[in-house]
Formats: sequence, C-alpha cells, structure tokens
Amino acid sequence: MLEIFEYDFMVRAFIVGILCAIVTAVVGNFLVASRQAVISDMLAHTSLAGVGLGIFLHFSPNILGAAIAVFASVLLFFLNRQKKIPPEAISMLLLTGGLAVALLFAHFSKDNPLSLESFLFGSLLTTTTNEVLFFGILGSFILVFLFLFWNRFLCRLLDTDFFASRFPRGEYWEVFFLVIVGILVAFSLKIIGGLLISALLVIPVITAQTVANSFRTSVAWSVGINILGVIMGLFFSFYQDIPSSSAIVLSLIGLFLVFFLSGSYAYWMRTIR
Amino acid sequence: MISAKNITVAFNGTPVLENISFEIQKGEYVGIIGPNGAGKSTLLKTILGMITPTSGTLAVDEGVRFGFVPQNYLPKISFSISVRETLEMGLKRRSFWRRAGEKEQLEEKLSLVGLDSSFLPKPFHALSGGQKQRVIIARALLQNPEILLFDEPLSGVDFATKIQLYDLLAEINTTQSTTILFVSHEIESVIERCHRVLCLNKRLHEGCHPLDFIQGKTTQCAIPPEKGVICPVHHHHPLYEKEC
Repeated sequence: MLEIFEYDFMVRAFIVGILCAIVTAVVGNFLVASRQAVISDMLAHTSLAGVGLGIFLHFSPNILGAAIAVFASVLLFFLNRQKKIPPEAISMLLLTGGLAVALLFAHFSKDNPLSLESFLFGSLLTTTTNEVLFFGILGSFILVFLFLFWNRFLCRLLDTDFFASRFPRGEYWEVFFLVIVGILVAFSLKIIGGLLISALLVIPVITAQTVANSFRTSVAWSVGINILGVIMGLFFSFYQDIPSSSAIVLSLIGLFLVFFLSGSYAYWMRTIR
Repeated sequence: MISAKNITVAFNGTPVLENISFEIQKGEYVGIIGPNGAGKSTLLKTILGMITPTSGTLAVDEGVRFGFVPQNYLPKISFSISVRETLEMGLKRRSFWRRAGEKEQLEEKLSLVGLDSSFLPKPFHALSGGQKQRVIIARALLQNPEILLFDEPLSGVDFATKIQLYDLLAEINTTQSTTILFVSHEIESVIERCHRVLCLNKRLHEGCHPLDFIQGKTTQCAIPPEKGVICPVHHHHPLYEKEC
C-alpha cells in the first residue's frame, strides 16, 4: 500500500475531499450557468462572520457559519429584488462586511485554540471521523434535493421569465437554491477554506465547458475533474509538504489549462488543415 | 378568452399601464405595438399572472393553458445546454430522471417548428438565431397552449428566417386555432399578419391607425372605421385589417 494511505488522517482527508468535490461540482454547474458564480464567494465570506462569532462564543463555528450563510442567502434574494443597487455591489457589501465581522471576533478570541485561519484557508488534514460522517449526510441531502427538482432549478436559474410564466409564484425556488449554496459553502469552510471554496465550485465547471455539449455532460465532466483535482492536490500536499487547499486549487487550475490548451490546439490544427 | 377591464399597473407609484380594457377571443392573432417603455412586456406579464394589476379586473377563462416565448433568453445562454434540455424546461417533470415517451413528445413539437430529432443532442448555443427561436417556440408548444404569447421574438433574426417564422406562427394559429398575442416593433409585419392591432403607450389608443400611432399621432379617426373610406384626418383607411 502507498505510504499516503497508511495514515488515518489522510484517508479521512481523501473521503471528505472527494465527497466535497462531488457536491460542489454539481452545485457549481447551476451557479456558473446562471451567472451567479460570485455569490459563492460572497456566501463563504459572509458565513465567516458566523465562524468568528462561534470562535468567540466557544460554540460550533460550523453551525453559526451556516446560520449566517442561510440568513445572507435570504437577505440577498430580497435585496436583489430592488432595482437601485446592482446585485454584484450588494454581494460585495455582504462579502466585506462578513469578513470584517469575522476579523473583529477573531481579535477578541485569542484564548480559543480554534483559529479563524483554519476556516479562511482550510485544514482538510485535521478532519475528524464525525466531520466526515456529517459531511456525507449533508452532501447526500443536497444531491438528492437537487436531483429531485433538477428540471425546476434548471428552468428557474436559466430562464427566469419562462419559469415565471409557468409558475407565477415560483420565486421561492431561487431562495431554495441560494440556501443550498449557503449551507454547502459554510460546511466546506474547514475543508477547503473560505477564500478558496469558489475554486471547487467554479474551476471544474469552466474546465468541463471546454468539452461538454449539454448540461448533464458538463455535470459529469466537472465531477470527474473535481475528484481528480482533489486526489492530485492531496498527493502533492503529502509528498511535497505543501498546504492541502493550495495544492488542490493549483491542481484544478493545472487541469483547466490542460483541457483549455488541448482544446485550442485541436481547434488550431483543424483550422490550418 | 381574456377580458380586461380598466387595468392599471403601477410600480412604486409610477403607472406603467393605465386604464386598459380589451377582449381577446379564441383563435385571434393579435399584435401589440408601442414605443419602448410603453408597457408591452408588462401587459403580457400581467396576462400571464406574473404581475398583479394595481386596479381593474382581468378575467381569463378557467383552465386556459399559456405558452410564453420570452424576450431575453437568447443572449443569456453561453453555457453548454443541449436542445433537449432546453425543451425539457417546458415539461411537467420536476426531477432529473427522464420518463418514457418524453422524447417522442419533444420530437413531435420540434417537427411542428420544422426541426428534426437530430437537433436534440446539439448544444443550444451552437444553433443559428432562427433555429434557436424555433426551439424556444417548440418549448412553448410543449404546454399544448391555447394562448401563445410572444415578447418581441424575432429581434436579431435575419430577414428570410423572419418570414419563415411569421409563416410558422400563422400556420399554428390557423391549423390549431391557437390564440396568439404578439408584441413587436415591426409595425408593417404586424399589420400584415395580425387580425387586429392593439396600439399601446401606457394606455390603449383605439381607433387610430397603427402607422399614425407609431409616429405619435394618436388622435382618433374623424369617421367611424369603414372599409374603403379614407379618413380626412389621417389620409388613409382607418381600418387596418389585412383586406383593406
């Protein structure tokens, strides 16, 4: 057996990393297709305010982070309905506000061994068995919910007007989706980090877009690419002794470049023939 | 089928539609014209139930099925989504899992708009403008609509395709006696194709010729509309039906 699998903490990191890769890739396709990729970053940063509060109060940072993320999702939905301030500016307001609150709480919680840093940059290698189990259950719930209402989400996120013509009171589908993203992002903070979670949601999707012809194939490709990125990242992290989240994100960017450049090369070869 | 009485729609106190009354009968092909900001899209959305009127009553026959072809779909889609997935948005199915017989249903509607089943796996963004519009019309037809509503569906489509699509709509209107409400900027085509034209600029201007209306002359014709009689105010036939 490879040395890397002789350590329990590495096995747990592989399991939770792959679970996270699958769920984020599926959710990421809906996010990128509806041009809301920036929302994942906003929710991650905002939920850090809950994490900071959790560290300050010595109460589960994950649960408080998720609560703040859900609150921010609903708030964002209502703020986006007004026409005066552009949605991306509102996202920036919540993003920076969340981070500022998180830093403030962290400043007053120097006595707590849990650090905000581990939620900013992730600490996949310190995942406990309970955390693996919890993420497995949460991820399954999210996937089942998305697959049960797949067609509704797709229609609502890609063609709002057509969806509203069929379901005039169907705005709550958007709230459902934002809440799903909020919860997923908040519970992924410790795995990949609040500053890097968007990479797992967005990079595999844009990589898949270089080869996919349909939404379903894009989902399938991005799940595969995300899993490969996590596995490569963990190997680099273990053998080169570099931070795991950094290694995962750089592996994903490497995969994107391979797909993108080989696609461009194939196109170029076809053109000159 | 649709009966509107004194409908007013206001957003934040600013009226977008004022005191609008009209009736639409089964099988009619009605054009709606007006300048930008006249409230054309708002009127369609009000009929669809997406917007509730501030005052007035809108009665739609019970159980009427609508099919909607929205305005802003095409430029938005740069993501890989297949023609099949685009059409599936018009199905009743909620979940990911496809049901038996669905593919035949999609193929049937595609053939109604002149496309064959080989289009199903193709990526939507790789189609031409006219093909995209046909797919979007097929998606609206999947609801077996009794009323089809079009919100400027032919902007950005070349002339030849436009003619084909107008013919297609006329065919749907006559062969399936589907009522059509058609919002457009293309005044000549609307006059030529539609049974009647609603001139809208916040309120409905009745009795004026669409060509005059579009130039801002909204005075009513001096004489009641009658075939073959020329209006002394507007210097052409006040009746604007096709046979005039």
